[in-house]
Amino acid sequence: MRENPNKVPPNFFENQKADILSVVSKSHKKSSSIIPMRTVRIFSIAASLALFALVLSPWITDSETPCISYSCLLESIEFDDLSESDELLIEEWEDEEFEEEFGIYIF
Amino acid sequence: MMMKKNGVTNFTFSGYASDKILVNALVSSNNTIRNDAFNSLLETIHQPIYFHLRRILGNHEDAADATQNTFIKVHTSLNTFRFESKLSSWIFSIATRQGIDLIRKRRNEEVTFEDHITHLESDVYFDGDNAAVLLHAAVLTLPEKQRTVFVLKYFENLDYKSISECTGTSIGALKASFHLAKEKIKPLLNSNVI
Repeated sequence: MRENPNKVPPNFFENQKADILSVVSKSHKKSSSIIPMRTVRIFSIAASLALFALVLSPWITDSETPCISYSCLLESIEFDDLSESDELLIEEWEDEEFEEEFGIYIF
Repeated sequence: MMMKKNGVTNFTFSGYASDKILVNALVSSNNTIRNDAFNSLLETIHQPIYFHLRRILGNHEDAADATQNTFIKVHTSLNTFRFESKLSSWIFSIATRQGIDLIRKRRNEEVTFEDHITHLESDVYFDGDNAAVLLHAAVLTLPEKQRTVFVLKYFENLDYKSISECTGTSIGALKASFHLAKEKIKPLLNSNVI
């Protein structure tokens, strides 16, 4: 059996073991402090419901026709927020001929 | 502490009947269970890993750093352990990679055989006779792969199959590396430097 000539400082292994255990313990605490999976699940369900409601919102109206038609969407636009050129363009869209050409959008 | 070594990286971890039970404890969310498991792991394999790295790297400071990095890597990578090898072999392979990485970082520093001898002779944590100084200095002149194979085969008494597990190298390539390493070391041991 060969004798090992490599020596270590006094208490080296004890000290390093304590250091390693400390790092292991800290890093695990860090991972456990991340938002628990249960909370993540609740948030994802809530987000899914919100998205679902947003998609369905055009159908949730007083009238029978859901607001996905061209004319309905046009009515919902706030004209105050539009520039002059945008308003002119919208006026053009309202022309009868234009509506006939793109009649597919009219319910 | 119970430690059993059968010429391969085959350790028995006190209090844990199998690697699977130990790994389950190491990843437990219960602090006490996890810390007890890591404590048992360190009690068994801390010193063998350190001395393995010490022989590869040649000095206490680098070996201490690489040892610490090895066990932190073990902790963070336990979820990737697939039980395809012994847990101890897997840890030795992580340690070996840490050692090789450090050798590569030092590659640009040109250190001769004589420099290694001078360093070992002045190292307060090296207590070997002239033959030991010559042998360890000669090993440190080897390229990283040959050095690793030589350390695992000569100092750790591992068989080629275990070395293959540790290094991910074929047995044929390992035999060739060990042969080349021996051929490089022989003339250095016969030199009259000391």
